[in-house]
Amino acid sequence: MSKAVIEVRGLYKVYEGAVPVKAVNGIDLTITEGEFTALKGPSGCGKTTLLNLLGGLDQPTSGSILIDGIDITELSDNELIDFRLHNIGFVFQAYNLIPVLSATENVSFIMLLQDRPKEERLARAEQLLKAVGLSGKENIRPGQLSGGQQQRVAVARALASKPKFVLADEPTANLDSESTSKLLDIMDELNAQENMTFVFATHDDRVIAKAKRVVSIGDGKIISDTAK
Amino acid sequence: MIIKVAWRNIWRSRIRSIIVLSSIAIGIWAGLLIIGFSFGMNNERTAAAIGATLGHSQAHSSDFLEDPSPSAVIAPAAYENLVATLENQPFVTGYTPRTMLQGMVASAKQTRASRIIGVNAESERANTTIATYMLEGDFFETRVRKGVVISEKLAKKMGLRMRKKMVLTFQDHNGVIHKASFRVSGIYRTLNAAWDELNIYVQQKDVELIVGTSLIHEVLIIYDKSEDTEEKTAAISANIVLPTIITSWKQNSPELGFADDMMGIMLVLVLGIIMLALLFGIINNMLMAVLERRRELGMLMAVGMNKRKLFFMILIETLMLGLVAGPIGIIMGDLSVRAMMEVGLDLSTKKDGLAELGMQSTIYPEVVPEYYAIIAVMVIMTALIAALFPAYKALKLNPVRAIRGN
Repeated sequence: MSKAVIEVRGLYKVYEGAVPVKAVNGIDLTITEGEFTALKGPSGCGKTTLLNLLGGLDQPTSGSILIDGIDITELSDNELIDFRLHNIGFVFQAYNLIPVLSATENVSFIMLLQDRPKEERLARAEQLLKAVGLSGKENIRPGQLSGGQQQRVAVARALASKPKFVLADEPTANLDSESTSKLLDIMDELNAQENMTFVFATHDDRVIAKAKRVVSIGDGKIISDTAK
Repeated sequence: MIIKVAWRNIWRSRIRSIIVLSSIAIGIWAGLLIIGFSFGMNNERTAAAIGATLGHSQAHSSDFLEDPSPSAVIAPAAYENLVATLENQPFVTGYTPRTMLQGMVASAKQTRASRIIGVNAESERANTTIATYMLEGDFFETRVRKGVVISEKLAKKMGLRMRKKMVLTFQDHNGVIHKASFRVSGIYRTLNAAWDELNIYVQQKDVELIVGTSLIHEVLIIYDKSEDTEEKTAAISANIVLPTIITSWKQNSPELGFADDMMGIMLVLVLGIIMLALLFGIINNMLMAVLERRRELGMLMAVGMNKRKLFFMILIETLMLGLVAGPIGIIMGDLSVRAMMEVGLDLSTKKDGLAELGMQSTIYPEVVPEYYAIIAVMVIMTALIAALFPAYKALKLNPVRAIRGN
């Protein structure tokens, strides 16, 4: 049996205001190593909030999030930053690459933050860019790459830190069909070959179709949880 | 790589960065010009005053410093001791004795109070620059009995010309009043209009003939260099017998000494004001850079860039602005000052006003390399301070909201 990478217990996130909004309303969820999971649901259902909580980017109102046995809700800000650096890969909707750096430099930058030696950084960046089908584009800056290519660099960057899992928030939202298909194939391949755990927040049917497990969210709760 | 990122980030908004870099460089350039001209002006005025009238230091009897009356002479024994001491000091290149009398000078047009300086002409010419300021006649080079050298300003006010007679009235060391007729043998104009209006020169030997004895009230002392004047003056003082007192040019001309002492402080203040103006420009630039890049900064925080590294990146970026613009400004300033050293700054329209302050109408700046280091340090400090607020804003970003561009 695969080990649990993420264990969520009784998770709530309430945004206070005139009318408090329960963005995450009592979620229990376990994600095991090597899963390819899509969190699906309409806009505003709480999937991005859940993803941010899983990534330690936001603090829950209550509940616990155990990653490899460590409850990240109890970590301080600085501990969380360090935890994210070594354990979680992120892929964002808007790619968020550093425009003044080349593809290789974007990928290796995160390894620099981990204080890895230059040779290792360059070798791994080259290997990852090759894995995402960007050989020959190593020295090109994001502005000269297509949206799909930029998102593939972002995937390579997410994997560069050797994370335990990758969180991807609407990674295909800005991509055309061809780019989406190519990106999903690459992620699928990485999942199959390297047993990398991916968790997507998406309402893109193409991503949902590719996912091996689909968790439907509605009003901050899990409505259904289907493994294919 | 963080340094590489910082460097490339500077050039993301090329025009904005060029404007900021230019403002820093121009600020430094302007600062160096101000420093160059201020030093040039002050040093020229000081050098002229020391060379023509003040010397590096002066010896008087202690009584003279309290009340410069004719009786407050340096006694012969004290003078001999002083001369022996001066001869033994390697840094003393010359000295010249003077008779200092307060008196009245009268022409056909008017009578005025004046200070009559009796000089040993040859020694005065050798040890001061007064002879170089002659407009007409000479400084007692041509043998003229009872000649007097007066300033152009005094000549105009008293309606005197060369070879015209004027009557000098003064009291001797015994309180006896003497009245003698002198003939204008030279007309001078130093850089100091105030000095010119008050002082006239006669030969000591003519005064001696009138009063019947040699009177030495003051000995002007010249050093090899203008540096360490206070220390040299103290060295002489330690070797002479009282009641002779040695005072430096700063003590004898407090206004010049004050200007000299204040120069450094004033210039650092001016540089501080320039840096303050630059500070706000740099803060504005960096704040815009941070706010424009909040998505990217949010991403960096999300993926695990800690606050220390983020702060360091903003700091390096700000420092680079200073490190690029600083040398450009210093080189521009240095070259400009060196170019201006040849031609000077012509202020002849303000000639009279400048003369009242003891300055020439053309000001030649000086290169003051020690200020380059001060400016470099100030630019770095300014950049460091300027980085604080933008870096604080960056650290305060919420990664989730920043990634969304909020």
